[in-house]
Amino acid sequence: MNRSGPDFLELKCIAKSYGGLPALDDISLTVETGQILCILGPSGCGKSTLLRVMAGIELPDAGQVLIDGLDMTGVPVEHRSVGMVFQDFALFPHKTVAGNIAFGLEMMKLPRGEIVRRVADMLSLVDMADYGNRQIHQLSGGQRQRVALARSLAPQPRLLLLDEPMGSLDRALRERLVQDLDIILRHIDMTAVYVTHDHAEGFGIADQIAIMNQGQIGQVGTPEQVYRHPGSAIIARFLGFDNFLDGTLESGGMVKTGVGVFNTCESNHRVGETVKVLIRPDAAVLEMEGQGAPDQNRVSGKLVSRMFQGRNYRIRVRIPNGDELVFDLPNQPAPPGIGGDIHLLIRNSAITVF
Amino acid sequence: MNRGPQNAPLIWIAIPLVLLAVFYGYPMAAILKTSFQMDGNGGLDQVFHILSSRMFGYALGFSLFQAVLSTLLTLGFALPGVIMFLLCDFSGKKWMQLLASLPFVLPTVVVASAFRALWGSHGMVNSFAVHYLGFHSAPFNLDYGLPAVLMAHVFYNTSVVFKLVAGFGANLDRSLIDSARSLGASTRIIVFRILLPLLKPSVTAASLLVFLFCFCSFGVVLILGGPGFSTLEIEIYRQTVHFFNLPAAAILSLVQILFTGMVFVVYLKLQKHHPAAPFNTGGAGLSLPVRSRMNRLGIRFFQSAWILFLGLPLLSLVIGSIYTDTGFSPVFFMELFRNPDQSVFYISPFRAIVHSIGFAGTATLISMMIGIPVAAYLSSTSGRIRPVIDILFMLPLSTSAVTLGFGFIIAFDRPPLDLRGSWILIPMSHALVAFPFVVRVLVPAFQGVSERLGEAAALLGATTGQIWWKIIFPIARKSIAGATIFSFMISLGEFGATAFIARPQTSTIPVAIFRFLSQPGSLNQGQAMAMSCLLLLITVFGFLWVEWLIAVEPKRACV
Amino acid sequence: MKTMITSILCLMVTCGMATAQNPVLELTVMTHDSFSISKDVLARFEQENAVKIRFLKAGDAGAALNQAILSKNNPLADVFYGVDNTFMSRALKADIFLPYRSPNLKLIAEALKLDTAFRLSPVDFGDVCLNYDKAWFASRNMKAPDSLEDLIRPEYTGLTVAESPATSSPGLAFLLTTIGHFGENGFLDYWKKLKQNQVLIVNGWKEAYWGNFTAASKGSRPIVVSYATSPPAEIHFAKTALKDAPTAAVTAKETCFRQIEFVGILKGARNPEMAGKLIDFFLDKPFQEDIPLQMFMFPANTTAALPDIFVKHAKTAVDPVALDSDRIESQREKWLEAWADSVLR
Repeated sequence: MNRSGPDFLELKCIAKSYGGLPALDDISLTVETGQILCILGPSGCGKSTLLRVMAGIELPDAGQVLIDGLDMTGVPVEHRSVGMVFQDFALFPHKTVAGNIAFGLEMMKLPRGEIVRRVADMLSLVDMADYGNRQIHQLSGGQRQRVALARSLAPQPRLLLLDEPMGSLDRALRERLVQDLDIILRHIDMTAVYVTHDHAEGFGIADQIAIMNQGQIGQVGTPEQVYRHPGSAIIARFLGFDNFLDGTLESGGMVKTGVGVFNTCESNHRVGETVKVLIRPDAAVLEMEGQGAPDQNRVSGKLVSRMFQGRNYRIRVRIPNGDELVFDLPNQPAPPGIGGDIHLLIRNSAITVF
Repeated sequence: MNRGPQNAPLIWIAIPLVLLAVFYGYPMAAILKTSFQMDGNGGLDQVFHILSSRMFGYALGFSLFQAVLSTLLTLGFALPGVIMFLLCDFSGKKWMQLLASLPFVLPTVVVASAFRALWGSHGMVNSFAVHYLGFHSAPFNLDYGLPAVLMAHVFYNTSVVFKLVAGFGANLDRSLIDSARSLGASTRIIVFRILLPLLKPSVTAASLLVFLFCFCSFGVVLILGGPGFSTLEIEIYRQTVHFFNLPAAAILSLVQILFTGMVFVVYLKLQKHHPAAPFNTGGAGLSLPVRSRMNRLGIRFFQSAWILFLGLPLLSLVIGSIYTDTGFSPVFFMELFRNPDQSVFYISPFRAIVHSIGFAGTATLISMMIGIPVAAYLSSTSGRIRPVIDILFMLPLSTSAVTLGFGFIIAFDRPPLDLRGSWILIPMSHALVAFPFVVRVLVPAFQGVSERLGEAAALLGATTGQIWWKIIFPIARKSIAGATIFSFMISLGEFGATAFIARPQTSTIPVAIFRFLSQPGSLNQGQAMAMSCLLLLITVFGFLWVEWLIAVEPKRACV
Repeated sequence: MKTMITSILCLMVTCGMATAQNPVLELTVMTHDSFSISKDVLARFEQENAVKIRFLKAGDAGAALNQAILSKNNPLADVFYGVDNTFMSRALKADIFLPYRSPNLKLIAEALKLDTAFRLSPVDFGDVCLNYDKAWFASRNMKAPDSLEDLIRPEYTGLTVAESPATSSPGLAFLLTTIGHFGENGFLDYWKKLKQNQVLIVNGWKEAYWGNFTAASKGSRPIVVSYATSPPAEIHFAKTALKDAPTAAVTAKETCFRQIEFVGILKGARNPEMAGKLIDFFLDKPFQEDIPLQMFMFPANTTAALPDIFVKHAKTAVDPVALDSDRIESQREKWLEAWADSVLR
């Protein structure tokens, strides 16, 4: 999965504010050639603004945008050779599918024959070879999305920017299209920045993920890094993790919480400090007789609900202090019935302390 | 828009249809019937005689000629400004918008005098040219004639183009422009290959309205054209009032209506097959940051053109209301509050304002009440009945005011419809004129609201009524507000004193202006100017009020 | 939206209240836009007769009369004020007035009584004539015009503005003046010469007076077709008190047309008796003395005293042209066509 090359896109200390309210606060980021960077963040965090700054649609108040080593900060979008896919696709309603795709090629003043050939190539790339003469309003949402992609790729941009490109599609369609998109982008070795608020989508396609919140970048890393070690409780919550326990750090990386002691390898906090412990839901297995060290990395409680999901069970456990924790258990062995006592063992690699 | 396979049921517009039948169809039928029953009516011979007369050929020819020219010039003047307004972010946009709204409310006499004070052979511009630019004689002679008529038509109708096109364009999805730019399109390409095609429905609609407005022009041609020019509308008035030749007037009226029908058919042909542009549900606008020096210069150029052409006449009006031969003084305004001759028909400025606002408010209410259902119906119906309904509601705009006014006299002469002399006829007649504007603003707006939104709402279990009320109206609220202020201004400026029975106790501002200007004396002219300023002031307040109404709607979270 | 609708509803209510009326015995007078009357004069009549007078204004004199004719099956009003002698024949032919011989007719100037059947009673008159800018002529040491022939002399080139008879009532009156003076065979010749002498024709009195007359605007024409009462109006409506009018009227022999206005009871009037009393009132001194300053016309009643301003500054035509009302009505269209052909085309 991981390819690496020289930095293709580089943002240096980008800042922008609207009417005194900072939308982007000192942001620096890099994207390597051929990589897909996903900017993940909740609504209103500034990620779309950041993308528009990369594109040149908006100008930053401060900072630099370098593309392929050249300072492009003041260069408007029409001269950046950057492709862009919008949330509502922004297809031109007065043009056909082919007309939409040809638009960027016409702007390059390519000869007619070349345009026809490239349009045909693009249509087959997105698997819509027979749709060239269709009107936009005759297409389904998924088809529109693919036309939008083909249109933005046709002029062979050096960088593709995607602004919530699945935002207006339903979930089932979205999962399939993310896969298709991934295949297409890697097939043509495109450098891309993908903005979304859906972490499943982001994890699915990104080489690198940048988590954004309130105009700042919270964490940058591979999907695995971000998933395993969220940079902060806020990031963890955004990624959908909700199993938090309050505790106190003791010596040797041990954290004492209301439900017991956890061995966490933690070294960033001082002994005696109050901390939050995050337990990822995939970290638990049912405790067998005589397993594990006593009173360490164990969670016990009453089973509140269990949901069979095929590969695993999603269970909800009420711990003694009244909180509920959520875990995904392997489907073998089956957990006890609802209301029963349950004892779980937690892998310590799945525990993060904030 | 195809919201489902069925068309909207006709019952949606039952009330508008009844109102149209009662207040338009019935009086028109009555006046036509009376006209053709009058003695001295030579049947077909007379029709032939009139249609082959030189008067008729000339009036029709000139109506047509000046209307086409006026429409083209108005588009030529207004569209660059509107496009600039839509595309670019610059200071003073609010003012441009306000400036484009004001001319519409002013009575023709007032505009004519303001124009002459500026462009006339003794006007400010010519004096300036003679004194400072070294001209030996006045370079412009725009007192009378075709250029003056055309200028006045452009002056009035810029509002129409601005309201319709800018209103429609403000709802366009900004990402269309952004994506064109990201594909390498220059500003020129964006304007000609993206923006104009997308704006086409509103441009066609605006052209239609401007054309009809100019085609039926009365006051502008009468006052600024001079006696050498005549339109069908003027001939209808002359035949009706001066010669009392109702059969001739009726024939001319029918020709005018028929012609409107033909123009409308052309319009429908042009509008066909045009896919609705997706509407931006956020309302961020298209505004792009202005970067290049050329763009900035261009903006300054068009801003100056608008201020010069639209603003200066208004300014000369304001100056006329406070400038006396002894210097600046508020004497004309103070004089408005006095009634030295103790006339029964004196109207205090306060009461004139109340009447004006009352009539305009009522007319607006009526035109919105019929306009919204009709626009909703038209935007969700296809098939044969649609153009018929569409055309039906356009007819009042092109019907001679004097014909309809006389129709009222004949039709409403016995209970339960003894409405002659009732105040309701005035807002009703204003509403009939304002209504086509409302429909032309709203239909593209309703159509533009993405069908997906409607479908999504239907999936969530919303009824048709809920979809309109909760989804489409709120999204199109800018257009609805625009239509409201538009119809308010149309009514505010209409005075119709020539054709409708008026109760002098409820005189409006335009009527008061007319009263002042019908007697000699410098005080009268000054007071007319002062009244005109009050009219402008009300318009400014109305404009700001609607702006405020739009602004207080809950803001949407940014994405 | 809701706020907007509520606001508009409020406006409607305000408007409704402003137009609400209290029911008393009502008499309706239909008239043209220029009609006016003083509050106290009207109030006296209303009190003495326990009646409420309602006025309907229906456009200019022609439009108002036509509407009265169209509504004759179920008249809008009891009394019609303001048929003038150019429209009199049309009104009488349409047979919309009841004969009524007011006792006050004996106070009215004989020359004004044109309807021998007493359906229309003369109530006021005004002379349409040339007005000129006194200062303009004085500063150039030029003689002011005092005949129609003056206007076609070379030194008067480009000095006159007149209204089109096709669209304006003073315009029509001036055309009739020329027909009366030069005869049906000579008037077109005169107009052709006027045209050669660069007369400016505009469509309405407002245009002529406010748009082109040097004394009233930044215009370039020191001679205008207006009324003999315009000079006193200039003084009356001046911003600052004037000793003398800036303009003067030409009232020499056969240079004016006399517009006589009539009042009559409409057939089908709901209260003809009270309507008769109103006619008496219109012909009586209090109203007649109110006419000059309200409408800038002369009273028809010979006993009515003129206000100071009229005594000092208003003149009446010495010998206005005489044209029969029937002839005007029957020839109007023909004359206008002929005029338009030779002057406009």
